Amino acid sequence: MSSVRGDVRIDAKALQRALAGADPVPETDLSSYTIGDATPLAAVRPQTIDGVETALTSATQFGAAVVPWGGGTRMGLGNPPSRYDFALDMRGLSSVVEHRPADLVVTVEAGCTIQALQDVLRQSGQYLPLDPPLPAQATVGGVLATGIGGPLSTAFGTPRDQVIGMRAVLADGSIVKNGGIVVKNVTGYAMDRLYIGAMGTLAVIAEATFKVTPLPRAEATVVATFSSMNAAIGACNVVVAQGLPLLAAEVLNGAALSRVGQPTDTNRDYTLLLRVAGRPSGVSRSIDACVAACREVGVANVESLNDDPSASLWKKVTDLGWESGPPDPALRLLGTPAQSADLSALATQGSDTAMSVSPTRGVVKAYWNSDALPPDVSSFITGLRDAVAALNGTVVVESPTKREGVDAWGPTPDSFSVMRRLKEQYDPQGILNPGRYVGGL
Amino acid sequence: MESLIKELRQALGRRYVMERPEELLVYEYDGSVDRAAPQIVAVPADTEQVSRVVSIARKNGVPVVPRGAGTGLSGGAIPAQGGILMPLTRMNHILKIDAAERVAIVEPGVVNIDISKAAEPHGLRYAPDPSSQKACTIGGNVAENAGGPHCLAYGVTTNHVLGMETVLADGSVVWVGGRQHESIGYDLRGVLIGSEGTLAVTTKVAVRLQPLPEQVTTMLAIFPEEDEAGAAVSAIIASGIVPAAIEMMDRLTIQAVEPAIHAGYPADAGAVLLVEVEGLRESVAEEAAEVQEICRASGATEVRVADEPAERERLWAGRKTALGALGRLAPSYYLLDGVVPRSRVLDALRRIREISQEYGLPIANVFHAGDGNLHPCILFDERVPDELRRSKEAGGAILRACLDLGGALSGEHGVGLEKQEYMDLCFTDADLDAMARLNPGFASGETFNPGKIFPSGASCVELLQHTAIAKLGLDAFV
Repeated sequence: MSSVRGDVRIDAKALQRALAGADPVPETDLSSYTIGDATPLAAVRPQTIDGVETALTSATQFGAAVVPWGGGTRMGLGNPPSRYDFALDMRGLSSVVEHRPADLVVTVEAGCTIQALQDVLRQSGQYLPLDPPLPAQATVGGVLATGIGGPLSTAFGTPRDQVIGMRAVLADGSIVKNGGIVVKNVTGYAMDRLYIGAMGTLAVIAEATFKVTPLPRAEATVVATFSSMNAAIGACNVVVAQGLPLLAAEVLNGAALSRVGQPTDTNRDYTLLLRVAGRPSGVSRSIDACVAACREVGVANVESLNDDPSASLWKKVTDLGWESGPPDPALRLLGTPAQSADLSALATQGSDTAMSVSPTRGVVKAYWNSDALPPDVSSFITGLRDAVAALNGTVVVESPTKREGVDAWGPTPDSFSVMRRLKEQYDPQGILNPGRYVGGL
Repeated sequence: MESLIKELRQALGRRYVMERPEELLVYEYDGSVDRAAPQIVAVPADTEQVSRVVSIARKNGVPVVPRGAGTGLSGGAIPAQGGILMPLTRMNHILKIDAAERVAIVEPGVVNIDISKAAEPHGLRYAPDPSSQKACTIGGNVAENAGGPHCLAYGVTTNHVLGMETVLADGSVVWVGGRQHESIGYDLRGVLIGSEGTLAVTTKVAVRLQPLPEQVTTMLAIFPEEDEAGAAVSAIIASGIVPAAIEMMDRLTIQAVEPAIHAGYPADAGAVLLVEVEGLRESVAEEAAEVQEICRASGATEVRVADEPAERERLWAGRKTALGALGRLAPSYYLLDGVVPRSRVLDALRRIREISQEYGLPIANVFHAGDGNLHPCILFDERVPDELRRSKEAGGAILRACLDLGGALSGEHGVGLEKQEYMDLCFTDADLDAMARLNPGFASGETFNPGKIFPSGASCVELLQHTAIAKLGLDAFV
């Protein structure tokens, strides 16, 4: 068997022999590494960083295209790889290397799931404020490669903001590090920033060190239903302006709300969820202030959930859209906070649009069942992209990978020429996840 | 040279291009006392002029060194290889405070504290607060990824900058990041922040503003012994409280500060701890009570508490004037910036005491205890034979001690010229090579601030000649 991809011919048997030292996956399991309609020639699941080095050294030697894998929850993000010779499954590197509770830092291998990491941290009364969908499957490395967090981004920023050190393996197999286990560090360039969110196209993330946070003593969520998106977002803005310590803030429309199992009378409801945490005294007054703000704007119905019910509601909100496999399609609209309402209006297409809006961050996530969309989905996305571009915003197709006539990322940013040169510097052969990212990076 | 000056004058106007030695003199140094003279100082008024200076420099094969207020402590603004020094201080306009978006768009020469002052009427502030915040500029903060006392709770510059307009080495103007909280493509913003002016010039900055806290309480605790103060810091962190700031001054610093500001510190005090908590008034009241209890249980003999701005300012006065006050104890000092895991602060202080004895030089410590960011200050007299050399060696020993404890070379001052020869103590050739590839990625060549960050191959003896030895000055910050 051999594979011909462009002008590169890979001898499958020779590649498999070279990968023998990197914990190969049995050939019968290769189908689990399919992306779109592409299945790789081989897959490895190294148990050590040296195994990752071996895999990438072989990739360089053969000019073989490598697709790094974590839990696979986000393999629908990005364009299909332009070449795909072997899968590099990072789940063999799954340990929590060192948790230093007194320093509020943790070092963890890339293949550890977010849930497994949180379980370790919880034993010391701490947590990592990073909440991607499907935490029991999503790995640290995968989440960092996509650079996309969850609702906690309201308080804690993106995954980038949590990382203080990293070990990564470059395309040529060299193992590199930057940062460390200290929370303040300006020793050398912040290379981790470059690798985070790069979709595995510059380096393979092998290990990361995070800042962690004490678990709050109490939490609660205000659930407030409004008759318009504007009113819900307006109430959120009133709360933010009061300086209340919001952990997360999302507005869900009726379709989204029924997906998270909350009762809703009509698809015309817009429900603002405000999550606060801290000391019981502070939480209780925050809830009162949030309720007052909602009433001021004109709320239809408002209630609050404490502790466990609050936490379990947010688990569902976090998984929204991904509960039963990758949505088709899922769109992520990126703008400024004040554009949140406009973005959500643009994304509404048919009554089955399930939508979750982060008004503090200007991010709108929209999901459909494909039968609820017009037959020509591609032109809907293209039209939406033009409308959002007029606001200087961006539409990312988060899932699925392949849709005729639609690029997953849309137009390239102004600084794209720098990005392309960086790709040439870090991956001169173009073997790391080729073609997946912005502008074919 | 003549034609270069002529071209620059055509671009900027005659008075904004300087070349006479007496005009260049003030641009030879920054907050470190490394010195090197530029050939030309060119002061652009806007992005277009920055772009023209960069293009002219590139065409003539001359480096450009961007400069903010010159408060940096690692030699970042020193034109190590000469060329054009480009202060961005004329570009000092706050272009927009957008309260609805909670963002400010500012030019690089805007002074850090002026952003918070402009935001305050909207109930907002810019969180990172380097101790030099009344002088340092946001452009310099971006270049160094500046920290400050309140970074304990809120993170450093990179966590608060959404995007920058930058001028690349070919003179092109591009935005990296923007006003959005999320954008697509590689995080060029993230790598440019903290790149010490070596890859691009920042010409506008979009910073995130956050609501002012409802309540702020500052506590000053006096301890007979350093170890007791250190134990209090650990106990506060372990209790699950994340204060906005935890600052510490040691015995030697207290002895210098007391005669200067008459704060009423006992003559035999071993350490002073400043702890600030902020947020909702209920939470702050509870946390402040717990912090006081922890301090007393750890051995504090006195805890002063202040809620009102003027009173809080008084508690901070000793901390803020500490470095200037240390000038009373010796004619010269060498101020270091190292960082250790916060649980190892006491080990680091012990090691610093040993090094002080070993080299026969007093070392004062005034630092960000909550995040392990140490600022040992080696006191010496340049006129005494050998003291300069010994202070340098002691500094090297302290940095090595920080690394041995799991720390890093610099917490917030940057590498610059000061620490470039130490870089291979903590990074392999492969690590440094990966960093060096950013330069061709940005196609910056030798255009911006050459000769910084990476080891130059100079020996430690040569290093002695060009490191940051500060003269005593009351305008120094840490």
